[in-house]
Amino acid sequence: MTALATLLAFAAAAAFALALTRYRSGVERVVVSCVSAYVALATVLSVVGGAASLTGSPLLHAASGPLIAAGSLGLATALLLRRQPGQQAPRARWCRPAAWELVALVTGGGVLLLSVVVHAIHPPAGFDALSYHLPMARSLYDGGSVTAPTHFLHQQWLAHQPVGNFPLAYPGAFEVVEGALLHAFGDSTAWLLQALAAVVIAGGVGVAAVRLGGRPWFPAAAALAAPLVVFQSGEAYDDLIGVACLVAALLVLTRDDAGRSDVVLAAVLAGGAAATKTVMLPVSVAVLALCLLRRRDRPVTWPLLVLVFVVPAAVWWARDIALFHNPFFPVRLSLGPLHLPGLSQSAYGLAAQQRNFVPRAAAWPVYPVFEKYSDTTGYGAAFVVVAVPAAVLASLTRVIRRSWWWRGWLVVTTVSLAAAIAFPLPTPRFQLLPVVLTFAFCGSLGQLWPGRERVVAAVAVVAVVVTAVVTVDRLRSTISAPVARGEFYAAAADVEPFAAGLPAGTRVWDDTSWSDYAFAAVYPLMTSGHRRFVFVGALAGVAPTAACRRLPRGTDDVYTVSELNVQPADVTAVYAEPLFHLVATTQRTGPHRTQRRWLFAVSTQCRALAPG
Amino acid sequence: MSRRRPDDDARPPAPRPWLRLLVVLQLLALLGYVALHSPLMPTIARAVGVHPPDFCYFTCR
Repeated sequence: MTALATLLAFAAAAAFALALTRYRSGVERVVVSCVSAYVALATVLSVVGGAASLTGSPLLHAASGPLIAAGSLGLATALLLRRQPGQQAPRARWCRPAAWELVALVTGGGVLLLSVVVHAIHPPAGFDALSYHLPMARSLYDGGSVTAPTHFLHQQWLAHQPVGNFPLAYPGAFEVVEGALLHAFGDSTAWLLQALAAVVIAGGVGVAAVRLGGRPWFPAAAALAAPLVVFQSGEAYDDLIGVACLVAALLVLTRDDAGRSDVVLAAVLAGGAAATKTVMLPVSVAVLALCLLRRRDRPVTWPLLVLVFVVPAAVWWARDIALFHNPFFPVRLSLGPLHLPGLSQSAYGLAAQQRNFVPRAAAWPVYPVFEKYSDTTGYGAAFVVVAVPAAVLASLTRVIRRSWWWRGWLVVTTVSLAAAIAFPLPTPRFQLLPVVLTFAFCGSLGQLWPGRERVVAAVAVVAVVVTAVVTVDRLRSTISAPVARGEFYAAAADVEPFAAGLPAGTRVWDDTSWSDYAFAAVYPLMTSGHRRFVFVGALAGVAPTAACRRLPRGTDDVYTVSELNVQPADVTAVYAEPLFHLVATTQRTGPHRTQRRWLFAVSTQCRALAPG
Repeated sequence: MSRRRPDDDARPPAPRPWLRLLVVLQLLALLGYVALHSPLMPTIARAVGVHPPDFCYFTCR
């Protein structure tokens, strides 16, 4: 029943998007339809989850949420189809790919497919996916409302305790759609949305290249082959979905013949990106600003544009205002007299992430030359060797028409880089949108390098092949990882089988005091075999009696991971006898680090100390 | 990337000299990228006084 309801919801979303885009044609229609379907489904499911929180009935639970979404979207489709048919846009046919473009396309598509297959046959992986994307997706449907994932977080916030798994308070547009899939078809489909988004991004970049007067194939291939895209296409992150929303928004907005409905749709899609990923809010607002500029010769009022921009994220922002007095929680903001409470920059650890990529900030401009490949970094050789020179040439010369698309690229790139410096966000994946948009300039090699386009094309295709070869090398560790869930998570998510084998219904406290890797244990602890309840927090330095008082009511076990430089006595001082019993501990050495994993049972005496 | 036919009347655009320099720089950037993503990477890192990362391409895990 749940699977059928979810299929109906996805089919209704697809029908709605196809009706919405019936005046478009070609690849642009496919790109805009896919993204519109996602934003529509996410928005309706969010509203259902919000209504559930208000009424106290778990409307998202089981099949009810997808069924309500299917009905609503079916009705909206019928209303759309009653509108007078407009004039269909002439189909912009893509030229046939040249041999070198075909090589790049097959290479990029091949390595993406390999990544998807490798990730699909293994249990879900990826640090952010396991620590909060998938737990949030599960929790939304287990609890049946948008406040279910933030319930314990809110309790910690009210008690002035350190907030454990703070990303659970981010807007959950991606997770509410992902959760429907997980609930209906299991977590072997966790990769699906991101993989589709990768293809949509490549199609959108191809359309942008044609709009610039170039050829679509190499830009699409370079986007497919970007290591960051390849690695994320197999994991339940949300970067690709968010980028796909903004690529589609820019495509709709920057059409030469963009009308009133195009500007409105672009604002909705930009709002969809903001509802998917908070870090994309500055760029989404920049796209909204472009919509406001574009509306001058179109009869659209600015309040309408702002309203439709807010709609996809409205439920999530309203939830965070109600719970934490800050729509963007956990991001702490001070805007003049307005102070929005949240966590400090150090709590995120974002500034510290810079060390993972460059020895000092001054090295960022050359980072793309020595970049690492993973799900958080890697643009590919084609970016630095071909795309950046092409964008510079296009900007310095007047070879390429200064269209609205060019202006959009310039605004998005500037705002994205400025936001990364201002906040700061020193992580390469947060620049994925300007990177993929820059690939579009690679379609105009003939115009930009007149007389030398063959040499540049050869350099471009070698760059994609080199990137693909290195990516396959980096994928080898995932390819050779064990497929069995217990062994996989023991290696990839620091969850020992003795913890993964806890009985159904167990309430587990996951202590992240002594290693950030304990965050990645959340999803495996929740779902290895059967459902458990996992609460995240940090109790280092707390006396055992106080620890018992701060544990959630009814906690059965404590799981934690400690780095090698942590003294075991530091851990056992918190979880000490007789209030806690050490069930098992083991030291495991991986390829890059050695850690100790611990499982404690909570005594009856300790549970009695928990607040009522 | 259109192939020119012999009967085309228009003469091919004259390559700009600075474009040649740009292409040379692109080739050097590609070579540098390949070297930094090859088993040579730890050696290069040590040569420029940077601590090599905890992995190396193609050789060790």
